[in-house]
Order: sequence, then C-alpha cells, then structure tokens
Amino acid sequence: MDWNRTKTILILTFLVFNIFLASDLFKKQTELSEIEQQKQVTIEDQLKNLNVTYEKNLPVQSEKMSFISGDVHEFTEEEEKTLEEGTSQDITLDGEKLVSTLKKPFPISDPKEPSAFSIFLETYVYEGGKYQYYGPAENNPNIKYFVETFEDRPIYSQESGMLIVTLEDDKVVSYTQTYLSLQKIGKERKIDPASETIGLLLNQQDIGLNDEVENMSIGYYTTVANEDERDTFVFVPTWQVVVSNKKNDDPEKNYYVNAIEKTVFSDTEESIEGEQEEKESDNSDQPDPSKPKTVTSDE
Amino acid sequence: MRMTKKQFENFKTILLNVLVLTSLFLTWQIWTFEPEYEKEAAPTEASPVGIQEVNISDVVKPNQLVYHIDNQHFTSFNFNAINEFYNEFISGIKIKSFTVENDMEDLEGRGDSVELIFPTLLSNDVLKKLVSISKDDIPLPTFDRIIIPSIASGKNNEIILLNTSSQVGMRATIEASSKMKEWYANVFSSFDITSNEAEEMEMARAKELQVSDKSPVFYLPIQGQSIASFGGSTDELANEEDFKEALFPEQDTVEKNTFNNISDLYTDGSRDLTFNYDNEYMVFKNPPSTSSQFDANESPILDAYGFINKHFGFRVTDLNDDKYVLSEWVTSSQKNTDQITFRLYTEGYPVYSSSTEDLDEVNVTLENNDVSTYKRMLKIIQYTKEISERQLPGYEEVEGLLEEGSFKTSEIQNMTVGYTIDRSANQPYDFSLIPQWFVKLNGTWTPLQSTSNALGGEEVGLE
Repeated sequence: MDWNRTKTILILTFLVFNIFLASDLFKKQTELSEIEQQKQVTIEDQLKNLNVTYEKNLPVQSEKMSFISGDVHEFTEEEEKTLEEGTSQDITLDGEKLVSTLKKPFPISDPKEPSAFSIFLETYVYEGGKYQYYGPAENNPNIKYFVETFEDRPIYSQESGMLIVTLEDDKVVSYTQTYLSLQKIGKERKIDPASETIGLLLNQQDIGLNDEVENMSIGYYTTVANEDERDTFVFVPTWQVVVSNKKNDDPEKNYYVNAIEKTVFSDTEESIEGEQEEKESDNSDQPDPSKPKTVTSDE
Repeated sequence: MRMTKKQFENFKTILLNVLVLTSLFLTWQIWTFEPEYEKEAAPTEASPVGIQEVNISDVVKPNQLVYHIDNQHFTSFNFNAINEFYNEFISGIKIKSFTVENDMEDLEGRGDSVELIFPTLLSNDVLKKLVSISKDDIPLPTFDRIIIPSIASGKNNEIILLNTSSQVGMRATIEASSKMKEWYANVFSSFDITSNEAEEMEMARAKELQVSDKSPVFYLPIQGQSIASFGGSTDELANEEDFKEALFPEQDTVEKNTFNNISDLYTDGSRDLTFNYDNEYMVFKNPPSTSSQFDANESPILDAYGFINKHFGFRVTDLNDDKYVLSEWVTSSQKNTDQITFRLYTEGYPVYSSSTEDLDEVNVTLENNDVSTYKRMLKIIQYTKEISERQLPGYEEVEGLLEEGSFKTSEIQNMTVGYTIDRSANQPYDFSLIPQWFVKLNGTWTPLQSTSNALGGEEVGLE
C-alpha cells in the first residue's frame, strides 16, 4: 500500500469534510443570530411605536450568572477594634448592625458624585469597597444609601446588606452598616438578555406609551425575605428596570425582572423609601439613620 | 531552500492530524449546538412526589345525596353511600346540549329524582373533566347541585344543574348508559327506607327546610341519626426533603434557615418553604409576579387539584379510605385570588377543626394563574377506633339550633354532618372525632352548637 498517496487522499477528503462542517456550523450560527436580531427589531419597532425613550442597542447576547447566598454577618468585637484603631470612629455593635460616629467628620468633595465617597468607603467602612451608591433618602438629601454588591453587581432593596451614611455640611458624620457574606451557589445559569427583559415588560404592558426607560442594570434580588429575621438569604440574578413617564406625572417605577424565571415584581420609588422609613422607625431601640442627632446622643 | 521528500511527508502527516482533529472539533460543535439552545428554552419541571395521583372525580364529590320519591325525601351524608351513586352517574352519562332556565320554580317541580348537593360551587371546566360533554359552551358558569330525574328507557333524558346562591339553573340533555337506566328501573323505583340496604347507606327520611325565599332548600333527617365517635392517633407524613425536592424547581439554589429548632425555612430567593415542628405544619409561599396585567385565574379548581396531585397528593395512605376532597372555593375578585380548600374525609364524613393549622384541610391559593401558597399538615391519621355513638339532633332540634344561632339563617349556604377534631388533653387518644352538624356561612363551615349543650347532640353509646 502506498501510504504517502493514501495520506494525500485522506488530506483532501478531510479538507472537503471540514469545509462542509464549517459552513454548516456557520449557517446555524447566523440563523440563530438572525432570530435574535429579528426579535430585537420587533422589540425596537414596538418601542418606537409607543414613543418609548431608552438606551439604544440593547445587548442581545446573554451571559451566565450564578444565584448567590448571603449569610447575615454578625460583627465581632475584633472587627470593631480593628476599625476603631485604624480610623478614628466610635463604633456601637448591635448584633448584625454596626453604628459608627466619626470622631472627625470626613469631608466629601462633591456629595452628588458617587465616586467622591470611594476613599471614605475604603478607609472607614468594613468591606467598604463592596458597597455601591444607591441614592439619597427621599426626605433628606444628607442621608445616602449604599447597597452591597457581589462582583460589582448590586443587591437590590435589601436591608441586610446596606450602608446608610449621614452627612452634615458635606462631611460624613456617621453611618449604619449591615453586611452579608455572599457566595455563589449552584451552577452558572444563562440569564435573559436586556432586550428580552424589555420585551417582557412591553408584553405585560408595564412599559407603555411615552414611557422612558431611565436605567437598566443587572443585580440580585429576592422576593421572599421581608417578613422574618432569617440569617441566610438567596438572591436571584435580576434586572432592575427604572421606568418613568414625564407626561403622566406618574411616580418613577422600579421593575425587578427575574433573569432566570421571567417573573416581574414592581414597586414605586415612593414605596421603597416608605418601607425603609417605616421599618427603621420600628426599631425604636436602634438609632434612626435619618436623624443623625440621635446617633450622637447615643454616645 | 527546497523541502526534502521526507520533510514533505512529515508535513503531510501533521496536516492530516490537524485536519482530523479539526473535523472532530467541528462535529462536536454541531452536535452540541442545537441541544443547548433547546435546553435553555425549556424550564425544568419539578419532580412529583406522593403516594399516587388521583382522578378529578375522586376529589370533587357531593356531600349529600337526596332521593325524591312520591313527594317524600330520603337523604344520606355518608361519603361511601354518596360515592356509589355518584361514580355510577359520572361514568354513565353523556351530556349532549344545554339550555338555560331562569324560572327556578320550573326546575324544582321535577318528580322522582336523585339530587346531588356539593359542598361548594363548581366551575363548568370541572364539569367538563367529570362527565363526557359533546358541547364546548356551557351557559351556566358555576353550579352546586345536580338533579337527575328518574331516567326512563327513552332517549331524551334531562338533568338539571343549579346554582343555589345566585338562583339560576340550566337543563342538560343527556344520554344515559344502560347501567344507569337499569339502576333507576330496578333499584331506585323499588327503594324502601326500611330495607337493610337503606340502613347500610345511612339513609334517613328527610324533610325540606327553606329558611327564606332566596335560600336553597335543605333536606334534613327527621329523626336524629346515630353516628359513631372515634379516637385516633397520627403519624408523620413524610420528611422535609421530599417536599423540598418537589416544590423547588432547582435544588442547587436552595438554602436552609433554622429558627431555634422550632421551624426550618428553605428558600431559593423566589419561594419559601417553612416547616413548623410545633404542629408539624408546612407552608409554601411562591409570590406571583406583580405586574400591571393581573388577570383572574382561569381554572383555579383544576389548577389546585393538579398542583396537589403533583405535590404529595390527596390520598394520604394506601391503607384506608382517608382522603382530601374539594370543600371550599373562595374567589376574591378584588385581589384576583382564589382560595381552594380540600377537606379530610374519614369514616364516611368530612372533618373540621377549630384550629387553622390542623389535619382537616389542605389549602391552596392561586394568584395570577399560579400557586402562591400551599399549606398542609405533615401528619396522617394512623388509626381510628370507635369509642361511642352519638345521637345527632333531628329536624326540629336543628331548626331550633338555627334559631338560637348568632347568625342570620338566610345566610346559610349549605349544611352537613361531619366530625369535629377534639384535641382536648384528657383523653387516651391524640385526638377524637365527634360527629356534629355544620352550617356553611359566608364560605366557612361552622359547627352548629347549642348554648346549653356544646356539641349539639347526646352521647348514647358506651365508652
């Protein structure tokens, strides 16, 4: 047998076979992206017809994310000591809540700019780098909310992983912190892309005529953890979509769209703040972060 | 520089190897391309647990059977007696067409017939599952009674379906099986209340009771019946793990909380499952989407039935006849929720408890066409033992008790004989079952009690 010749024949055969396979795969991939594109086009058409303002070019590709679990962190005296010694602050521990008053208020160059807080967070706050600016309290611009993040993605609407900072004359005077030890659980799952999430809200008529999609971000959320004092939470990859309608004067609406199971939960901005205020005032034995003077008088 | 022949052959070998590997790689890519796309699209279905699935006809049952013969009434509340006729009926008829009847009086003058009284309203989608129907539109959306006039050998037989709460009804033309016709010709026509058979069925001579013009007609035994009381004990139904596996779609995302050894809570961020060890009670919560489009549930009874069937089921054991049967269906149009209650039947009668967390009920709430809560006790009846007989009040005494009651008699929706679970401590059993009269007021079954005698009956048996 002429092995050299056989090799030549085999090379040619495999070359032809590979070209066929490659073209088949290419065809399949273009078909898939065409479907995605078409979906995208129809969603974009619908948005255009309803005169909805949104950020163009919604990502159609989906990525993979994990569920995360969060264990409520009980601050230890050692952690308290380390913080107090390293920085000049007076810390009171109340189980899972850390309340701190800065001996020397920390100046923030521009309190409206979230990045201006980063040095404060890194220096003064336990695992401060893991918190992300969320917004000011509705009734008091000097109180700022920060939410805990996991791999830079925020945990929405969760009091057990939150930092509430009180400012006076553009200086941080005190803060209250809760912290969750977060970790991935289960296998990674493909999440719904942004475009599909908008499509879902359109279908459910949660986005309608003249609405504006102000913000859309992926983070973590739970729909079941508000009634009891549990120590372990599970958070689901969730899209937060902020929708407003300037023409109707409706309050801004937050939609939380489960990026795995496609369930939609909503609350208005007002009700989140309302809930927080309510819950905080319930804890009469704990200082109310919206009243910085109470914190000081605690000393 | 020219390649030597040997070098060229070496190059060919390498090229061939590369090509073979490439082809393998491409084949693998094509192979896995489609399945992955499909897989991501289909959500995973939870695995069913439980003893066995049951038919809808085992779960939707009447709570009273009435024979109307020559203007006399005979009735039984005994589950087993009702079952015998009911099973024959649903398998023995075919509905061909419907006509709405607004004149209730016209429907009531019906001659010799059998009447089935259900504990709650039923929707017509349930009717479609129970009996064979050749027409799709059913004009009456809900009903709670079926009247089957004596079926003659002819072809055009009729049955009547009534909604007693809104006082409307419809007629249905049916085709009856020869077995049904035979039953009417041989058994029903020669029914004798003094026969052994009637006694076995716990049939009693009854009298009509209509408290007001708008109220349904009830049929109550003239003489108080004597029914056995039981003592019993319970056993655990299952371990948590089975429920957890059935109720969460993905197991790898479920985390457990333990509260002071009183209860365990499992969560996956979208739903919660709580086990309370104090009373062995389970609550599953699955908050539905809160979107602006919040529709009424399409077929709540069937959905609740399907859900329970897949999640530990209605048949609590294989050993006896204890089972859960549809008992209440309460719709809240404001919140678009439906609450469906299945009630424990044992020793032939339904069981009621004054506690909201007891053996007697399995509760399912539906919201947005999905199950939002599921509650049941994680215990089953292990055994029951007859302890005494109890004489229930007869027609006149019941009438007296109704007058005495702190409710408007016009609000009574239904009446039945059932058992109260008595968990008082001074007894040798975990609990005892005491027979009693119950009235349904505003969707809730309440024991009919006398102010002088707490249980409205008198003990006749020997301990």
